[in-house]
Amino acid sequence: MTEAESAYSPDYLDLVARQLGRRPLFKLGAAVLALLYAVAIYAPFLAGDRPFALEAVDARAYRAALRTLSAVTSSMTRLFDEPAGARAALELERRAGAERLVVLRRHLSPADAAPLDELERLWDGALDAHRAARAAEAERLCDEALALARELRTELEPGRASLRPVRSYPLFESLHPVEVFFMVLWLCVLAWPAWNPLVNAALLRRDSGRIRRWRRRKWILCLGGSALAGLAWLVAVGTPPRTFDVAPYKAGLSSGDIVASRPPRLPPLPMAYAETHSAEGFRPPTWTRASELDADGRYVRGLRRSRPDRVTGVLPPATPVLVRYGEPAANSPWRHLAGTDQLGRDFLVRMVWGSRVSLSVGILSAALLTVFGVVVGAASGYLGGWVDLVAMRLIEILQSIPALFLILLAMAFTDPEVVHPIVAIVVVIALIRWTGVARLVRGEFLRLRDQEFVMAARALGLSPLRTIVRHVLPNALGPILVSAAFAVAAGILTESVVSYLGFGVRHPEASWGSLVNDSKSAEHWWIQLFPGVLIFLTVTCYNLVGDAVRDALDPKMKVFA
Amino acid sequence: MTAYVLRRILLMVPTTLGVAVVIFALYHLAPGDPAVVMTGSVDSREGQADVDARIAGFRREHGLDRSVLVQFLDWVGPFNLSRDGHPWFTSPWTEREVTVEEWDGREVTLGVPLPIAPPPGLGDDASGERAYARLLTALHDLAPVPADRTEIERLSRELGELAGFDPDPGGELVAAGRHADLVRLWFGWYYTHGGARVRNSGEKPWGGLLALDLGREMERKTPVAAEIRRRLEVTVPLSLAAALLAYLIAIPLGIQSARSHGTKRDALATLVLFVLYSIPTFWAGLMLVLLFGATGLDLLPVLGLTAKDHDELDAWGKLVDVLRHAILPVVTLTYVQVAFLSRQMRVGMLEVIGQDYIRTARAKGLSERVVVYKHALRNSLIPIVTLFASMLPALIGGSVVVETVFDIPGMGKYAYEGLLRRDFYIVMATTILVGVTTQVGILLSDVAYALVDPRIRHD
Repeated sequence: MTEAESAYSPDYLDLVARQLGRRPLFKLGAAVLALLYAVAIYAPFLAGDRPFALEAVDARAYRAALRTLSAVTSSMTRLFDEPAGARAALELERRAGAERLVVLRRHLSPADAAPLDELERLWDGALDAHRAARAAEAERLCDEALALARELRTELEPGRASLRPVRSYPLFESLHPVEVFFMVLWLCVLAWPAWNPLVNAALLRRDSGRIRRWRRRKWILCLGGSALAGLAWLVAVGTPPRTFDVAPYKAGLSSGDIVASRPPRLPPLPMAYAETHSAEGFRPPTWTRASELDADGRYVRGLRRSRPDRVTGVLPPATPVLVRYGEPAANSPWRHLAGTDQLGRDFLVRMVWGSRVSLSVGILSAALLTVFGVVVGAASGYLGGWVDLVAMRLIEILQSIPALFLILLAMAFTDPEVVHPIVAIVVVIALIRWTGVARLVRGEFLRLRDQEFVMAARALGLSPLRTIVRHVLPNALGPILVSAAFAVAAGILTESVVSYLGFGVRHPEASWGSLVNDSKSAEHWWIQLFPGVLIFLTVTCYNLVGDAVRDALDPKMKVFA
Repeated sequence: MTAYVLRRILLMVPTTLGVAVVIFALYHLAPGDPAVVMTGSVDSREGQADVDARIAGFRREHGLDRSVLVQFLDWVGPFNLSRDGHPWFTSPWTEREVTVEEWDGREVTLGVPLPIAPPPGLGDDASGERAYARLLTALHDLAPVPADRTEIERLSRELGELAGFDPDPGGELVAAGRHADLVRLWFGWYYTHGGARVRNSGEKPWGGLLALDLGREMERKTPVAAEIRRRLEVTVPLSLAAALLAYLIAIPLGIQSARSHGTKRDALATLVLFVLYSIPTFWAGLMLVLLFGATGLDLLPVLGLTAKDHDELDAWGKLVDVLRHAILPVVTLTYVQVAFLSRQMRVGMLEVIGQDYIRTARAKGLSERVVVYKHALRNSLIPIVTLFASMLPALIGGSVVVETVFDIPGMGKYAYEGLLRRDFYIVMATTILVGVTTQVGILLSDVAYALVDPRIRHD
């Protein structure tokens, strides 16, 4: 032991960390939670129908652009005769034309694209002439442009002109800057066991005092770096358009409209969360024997085996399974690892995306209710008097009704058209569950209010708000954090119950609870089994972590035991 | 002590009113119009005017167009603020006035006859109810044109025999030829005896929660209180059984766990109980249904509380049938409580074992058995026994989930049905009931604590 280390006396956080490090169950729980959150955060890379990178000729888009060049030109000609309001419409047509040219140019070599420049020149010339009120010239240029567009239609046809494949990154283009922020942040968190010792050894030279000073700075750096990455993404890529979450790539690749020069790679679960497979409604997990289908899409074994009609001897009609590009074969055990729901949406994919809703509802509701509870509890404990009286009466009233009852009630009478159910459930949980935190904070404040350091703060003339925030609250933070950890678990549980009972998240969104509600029939066991396992796992891990942190934060703990 | 209990009971009144205010506030402040939510989804084939009319009708029928304060006071009682019912019920004829705007802008008032639903409880068989409805409808159709007096007399007589009510005991009205008044009396009787009034409390001067009147269901018009009583007969035994079972398992478990404190066995038991505590109740129920229902393990029935052929069984068979059906729900209700209670028991036992008097008992040479079961157990039982009272409302609350999963017609299922139907009266009544149960539970636990622990004084 070096001299520096022996001189270093561990502070409270060191003791807590050391205590936590002794608990294998805490480590296990935290690791599983980190993994679950990783699944939620990196969901686009795990499950989706967008290729990572695509180098392909989109023959359909090219043909459509080429076909409509003459249409754009002739509608420009027609707009020249319209006296009023034509200016804006012309601009619009011009922009539509430009968009088509972009598609065409991307696919053509510069030499092949030369006639397009000529076309663009004619368009601009015609528009200029129109603006300068030279009607005859505009008419002439437009006629020339129309003739050229018609000529190009045959000349640049995919068969004649050689098309260059275009590179694009559909998966990355669909990422939102906020998603990027969380992805980078979570990368920092997950890699923490790797980089933290390195930083401590290399940059901070194992100096305990320095490491302690750098604790907060590391967090700020991680958060700041992630925020910067998100901002950079916003500037460089922008926000993706909010479209229905089924991309056209798989269909195009399967039908041959999109010809890739190299087969593009899809995420490991190559299906979108709203992608339906109409022939595969309620298909059991494909690794089970009961899920086997023949070429016509009829079940071969199990309860749903197709039997010929007793009278006519005809088999019931069936649709063959449609296997799109990149998907496992119809009878591959990997096709639907967790089965499908009624519309044939892959259940595992829905669980992966549903984890985003479930986990974020837990975190957000816990954060919100902790804020409510701390505000009310602090006001009631520190100020006392009638504030305390009113707050305590309210808490007593709220606590005399089981919270689940009240939450269900509030959700039942909330119109999902007015407030989005996910927002509603977060707010409702927070509005009803804050009482426990408030009582806790009130108790802590009553205990701390008359201690010397608080009196000193008051004697110095600090305002009540400053005294509370700077001096009292930090001393009450431990129990608040522990109760917040349990509140996350309770929030996830509550959301799942409410969604299971049908008052929560609705289609097309999914949470683990609403996924259980997808079928009430015991025949569809996968629908009831898998999401429940995830809920149970998450709640157990949160309880384990909360329990360990509570024990570790206990100041009466045996320090050197 | 008596004064303390009395004071607490008196305090329960404002708290319960507070509960009512909270529910009422949630009901009205929740984003979205209650009437819109309650009339349900819009049929796409329906025109907007139809939807608006339906919502307006719903609002009128259930008094939602009155001021919120009046609605609340009327629900709480004890005075029936809408004694004469809602304005459109004031017509003595069972007609409701509807103002329609004609194509040329004129407003025309039409009388639309109300459907006459038989009051519940009248005539046990369907034919009696049908006869009643037929007679009243016939009377209604005759009423505006009291031409056929003999027909009115005949209908009135038949109706009187069926309903056990004579509006004209001395025959004076008929003698004086006041047949219209006779009909009016019949409809007055109809209103007060189960007609579909706003607030459903008719012309009684009292009503509402404080008069122990919980109103009627919005759709079926049956009294909520009677239905709740019937449902409680299912839920209370289930909850009590679950509570009893939880104690029977948790106490020995907690003792064993505390006695083997620090060993691997204790750690394992603690972990298992911890995991058990984290299983979502609804999922545990579903898994039991899957286990016993879907896998072909036909050991136990999974749904309902009685078998299809329940009525044909003898008394013993009925008992066995119900017991077999109750096993899985009771297990589902119990396991969380076992996990919770045994943890409490273990902690309490460990605390007591660390006390000085236990060391004294050991020092004077008592056997471990006597020390644990005579000295330690009794003292560590105190907090556990008082937990019983606060456990009961939790069980009743948890029954929402369990009864829904196992399809048991109990209180929790009723509350859930009320929520699904967006039935204000069911929701209010069940929530208030659970709220009162909770408060009684807390009071009982405080009293029990004071009774068993002489150090606590409530003065």
